[in-house]
Amino acid sequence: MTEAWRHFAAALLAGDERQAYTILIEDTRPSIRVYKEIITPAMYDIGEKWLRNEITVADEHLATSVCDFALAQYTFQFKQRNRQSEKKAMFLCLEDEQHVIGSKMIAALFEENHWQVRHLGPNLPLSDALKSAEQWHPDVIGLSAAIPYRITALKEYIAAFEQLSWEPQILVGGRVVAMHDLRAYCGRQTRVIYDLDEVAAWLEEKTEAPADGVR
Amino acid sequence: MVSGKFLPLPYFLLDEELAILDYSRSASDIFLIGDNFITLVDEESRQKVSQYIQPDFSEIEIELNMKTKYSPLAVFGISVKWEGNKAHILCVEKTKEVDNLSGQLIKLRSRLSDTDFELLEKKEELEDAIERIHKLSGPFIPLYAEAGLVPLFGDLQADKLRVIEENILYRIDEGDYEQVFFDFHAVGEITDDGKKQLGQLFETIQLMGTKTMIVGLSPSQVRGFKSKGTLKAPSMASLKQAISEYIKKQNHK
Repeated sequence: MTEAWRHFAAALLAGDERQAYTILIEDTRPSIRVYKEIITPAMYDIGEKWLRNEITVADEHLATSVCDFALAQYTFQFKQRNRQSEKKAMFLCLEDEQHVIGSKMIAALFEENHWQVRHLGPNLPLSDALKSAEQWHPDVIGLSAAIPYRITALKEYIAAFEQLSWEPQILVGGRVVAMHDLRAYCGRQTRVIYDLDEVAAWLEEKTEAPADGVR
Repeated sequence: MVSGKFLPLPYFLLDEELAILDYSRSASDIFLIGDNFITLVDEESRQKVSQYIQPDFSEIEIELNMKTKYSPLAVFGISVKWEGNKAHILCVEKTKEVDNLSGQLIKLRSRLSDTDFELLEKKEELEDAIERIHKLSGPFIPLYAEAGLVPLFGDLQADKLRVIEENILYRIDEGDYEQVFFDFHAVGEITDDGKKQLGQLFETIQLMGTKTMIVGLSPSQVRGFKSKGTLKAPSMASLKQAISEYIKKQNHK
């Protein structure tokens, strides 16, 4: 049997958003495994296909958009009544960064755990991100960066968010964290996230935090 | 050989090691030219260069991310043609096209997510409105210090009754009522689940020590009432009659 992620990658490259969504929604695995075992390998495979000269950058962009759309539909089931939740998380990609799928999957995990979530999208200048943060006061700010040359910008974003008065937890993820050791730029409030399981464990930790028996 | 110096596109002549032997003026306008072609290529595209720019592929087109004077990451379409152990390379920038495309896709994406979000908000508004309608379909009205009236409205389903129940039980508990009238005059259909739920509600109220009086239930609605709670509740045809009997009894006390 061909693995689901291969079918998913094929649907993305064919621009078939309905098929892509059907593959996700009909899969019986829990959402985190859908993200890890279908979406992630499919997106990596598409990157590899470009390196193998099988597809163009334009194909990649189209595939990413179809993936984004299918993911948004898939995660819609978790967008339930989190308005009253006191826990707020904000996600964004740095300026000039278009790699949005990873942070969307993480945002969806937060939503599934009943957090109020705002995803500000790709390519967000620091000043806009700060403005949003100051208006909304999120407890968690998730930053995503994939392009290595943006690492100086990432440092600026981290430093700026660490200055915020209510001291939000900052999570940094994306492809760059696997390529560069970022810990030197991270203060007490900042944590580097290497994969989805780590996010899930962190969320679990947060949910279980009041372990005094009076949930 | 004709020189490529004045070609209107970035052009390079490379040897097998990809050392730059010659280039066009347009190339030096765009790139900071070093000794080797590889230095112009973004680190993550270099694997592609060593794999595809070699004499085995005598004629090939590939895409590369390249570093220009203006951008650390620009997409180029590269056409390669080998002539013996020398490669002729033409570079055509695609960044603009790709940016246009991705700009359009981003616009589409954000419109989609806005639509999603608006739909979600509407859905939540609708759910709130339904809950409110449910609540209003069974208000608790205090008639006297010891008697209350619950006029029920519309079709009765289990989920609606669950919403109504919460308020009624709270009010009875708070007010120490002896009797509650349930007026069914404005009720349409009652689903089977609704009948079950009603029976449970009556039983609960009776357990709390409050009498339930059913008023104005029509024959078609009665069918299917099986629970103890409903059967134990006395019933009357009209509210006027029920209330006046209640008052008479009170006066006799």
